[in-house]
Amino acid sequence: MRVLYINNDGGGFADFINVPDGQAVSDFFAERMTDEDAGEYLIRVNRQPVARDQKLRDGDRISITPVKIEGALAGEIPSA
Amino acid sequence: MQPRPLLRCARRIAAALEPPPAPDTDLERYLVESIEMITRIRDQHSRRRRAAEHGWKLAAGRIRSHIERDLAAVGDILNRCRIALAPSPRRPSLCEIYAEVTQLADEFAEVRYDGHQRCVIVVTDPITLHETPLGRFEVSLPVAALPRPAAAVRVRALDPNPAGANPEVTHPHVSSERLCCGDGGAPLNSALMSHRLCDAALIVRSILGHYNPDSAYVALEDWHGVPCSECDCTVAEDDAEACQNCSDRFCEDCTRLCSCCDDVTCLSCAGTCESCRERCCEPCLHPCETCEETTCEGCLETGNCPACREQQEEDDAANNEQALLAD
Repeated sequence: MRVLYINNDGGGFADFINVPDGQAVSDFFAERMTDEDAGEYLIRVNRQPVARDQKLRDGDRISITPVKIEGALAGEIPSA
Repeated sequence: MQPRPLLRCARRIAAALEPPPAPDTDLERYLVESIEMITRIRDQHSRRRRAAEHGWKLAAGRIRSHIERDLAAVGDILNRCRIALAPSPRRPSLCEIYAEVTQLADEFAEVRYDGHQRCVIVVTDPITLHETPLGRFEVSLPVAALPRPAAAVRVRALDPNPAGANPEVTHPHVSSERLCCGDGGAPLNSALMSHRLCDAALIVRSILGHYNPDSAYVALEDWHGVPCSECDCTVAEDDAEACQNCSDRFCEDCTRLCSCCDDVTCLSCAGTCESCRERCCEPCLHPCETCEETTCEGCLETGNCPACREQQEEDDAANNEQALLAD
């Protein structure tokens, strides 16, 4: 099945990807965000907070946003 | 916010979205600009070579700095070419914008659209970093198609607790309402260019909710300090010393104790006694009545510096000797 995956970490990523049918949100996170702590991220499915064991469905929109992002001085802003 | 105002807000945003500029036109313009710039660099290079051949080191150095500046500009133009070449994000439907606005209303206490500024505005909860309360922030997100929209994000403190050293710094990563995105720059640009307003607002909230001590306008440990009027460093309120002459405040390194009166004086107000070479405050320094050299009150006697007094004594002795011989 296909879901819209939005990753607001690093360079920012938004695209449709294929995932196994009925994959749990926690498994999706572990697969995509290796070695990262889910508690450090805001995870939304179809724009709503979800439980770790919620199963993804075809066409879902899942977004992952870090809770902590390091700001910097003006000269240090990386370009898009 | 009720569904009806949210829908009204979404309609206003949808109306404000312009079709993105034709990327090919932009690309053509940037390519012409880069060719012009490279031609100019080639000419400058020839001039630099000629200057070097004639041994005109100053002119060659100046041309070299112009070349460096233009090379940097070429890099910037080529970067714009790459952006112009990228496929333009499609315009979101009213339904998608409504979903964005609804999520914003779920995530933030206040959401509204400013038609004049063409910005979606959200208000954060009060933010406290390392026990320093910074209050709520109003975040303005541009909806217009911009090449680097993250630079147009504005962050205004609603309950300002600015840094003592600089009232424009209302957050370690906000100065004059401009957010310094750091690691959040790329995803923020990406979210705004794709009209993912809620993602953009969440990214800004994550930047505001985190403190990066290595790259702050004003470090939180110096938040309640005052700026030294001489070197601009931040000094704790209790440690700042006021110059007794100009009343400005300074750090310890930028003040001196007057050797005459022991008052604190800043480097600008302090002078040097030409006789003893000690640093003194301005009121303790006077011109010698004879030679007019700056002399401190400790060295000055009967209005004269030690050297002039010695000279006078020698003159007096010589006069006395001559008088005795004449007798």
